[in-house]
Amino acid sequence: MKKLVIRDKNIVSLAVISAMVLLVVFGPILTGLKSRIATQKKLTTQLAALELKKEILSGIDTTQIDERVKKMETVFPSKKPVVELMSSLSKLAFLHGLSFGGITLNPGELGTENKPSAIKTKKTALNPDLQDLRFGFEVAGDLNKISDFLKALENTAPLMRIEKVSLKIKGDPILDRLSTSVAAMIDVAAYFQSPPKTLGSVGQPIGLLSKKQETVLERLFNFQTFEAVVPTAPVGQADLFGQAGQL
Amino acid sequence: MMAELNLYTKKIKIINQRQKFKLAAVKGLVGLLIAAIGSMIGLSSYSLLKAKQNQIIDSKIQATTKKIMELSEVEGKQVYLLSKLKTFEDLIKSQAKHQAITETVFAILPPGTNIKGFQVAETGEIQLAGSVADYATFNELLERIRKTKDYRLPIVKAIASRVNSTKTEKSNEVSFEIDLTMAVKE
Repeated sequence: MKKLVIRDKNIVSLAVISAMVLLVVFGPILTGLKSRIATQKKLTTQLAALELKKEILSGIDTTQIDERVKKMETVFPSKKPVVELMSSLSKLAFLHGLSFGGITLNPGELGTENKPSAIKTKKTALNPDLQDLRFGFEVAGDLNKISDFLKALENTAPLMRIEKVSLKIKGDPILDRLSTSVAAMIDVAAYFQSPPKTLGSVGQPIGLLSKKQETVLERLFNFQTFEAVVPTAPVGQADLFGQAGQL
Repeated sequence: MMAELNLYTKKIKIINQRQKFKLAAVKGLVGLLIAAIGSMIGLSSYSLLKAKQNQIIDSKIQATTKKIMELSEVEGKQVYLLSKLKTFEDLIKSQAKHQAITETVFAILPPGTNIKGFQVAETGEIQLAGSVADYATFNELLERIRKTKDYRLPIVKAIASRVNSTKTEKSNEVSFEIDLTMAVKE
């Protein structure tokens, strides 16, 4: 009987030791496996997103996107389009046979492109990157021509919006539009928006242009552009006091 | 003749049963241990397989990331376009509204009107301030505002108007301020 009791104890001990060994060994194995499965799931999702991004980027026509960016930059620039604006307006007025002048420019801060201008519109409040350049000018001529000028203004680069208009009309715009002489003082706002500073992380998804956006982009190409004349050669006398020869 | 009597029959039977049970228990325990060891080996192998697969996926991620980095110029341009398109679209819409309002005001003005200025608002509410040569012209202006539907107004129409103030100056000139509200279509 004594021998049997000892045997009983052995069985219990063996069972307890086995259970402990199982707990000690299986615990970390199961935890590690769980963690690896979770990691795999995460990595697979990440890879799928990256491959989709790579596929989208590889599918983009580089020539087309170059053209679009160039056109976008002309129509909706990233910097204050002062020179382009003056050039476009004077040429547009000339094209419509109107006299152009009386420019009042409110260029705002010249050095800091990223700060919003003092005069904010509703839209600039909605988009903090959007800034405007406001200015006024005067055009004079036939009512029809001014009307056409205003219509053309809508489709002239850089993007402008009529903010305020003052008119001095001599004649009937309804009955006799051709002989109606008009002097119009127009305040417009030209818009510009700085580009995104960073691309974000590699994993950040990139979108394709929707059909609606493609249509908007098509509109971009309807904008009339005028070449801005920027002086490339030095202007004025280089050696004003004739010092070069003496030195 | 003496008969042999086994006085421990019952006890021996119980002991035999216990021994059988213990043997079975030991066998079961050993079997369980073997199964557990097998499972452990299986799970460890599976875990290692997962680790290896993760390594492969990770290397694929690295390769894809590298390719994306190579395409960063295209990505930059796409991000640029997308960031500007939304604002551009909003501006185009608001620009069209401004244009329509301007054209409407242009059309309702009778001859001899001087407009000091009107601020174009996207809601279609504008304050028309200016002067006309006489009351007849001023009446003509009001009449035209009332008949606003008759003009070539592609998107807007006048839905309400009121005179704020009128005054006659030395030269019979009538100064006015008129609040106009136009229904601006989206």
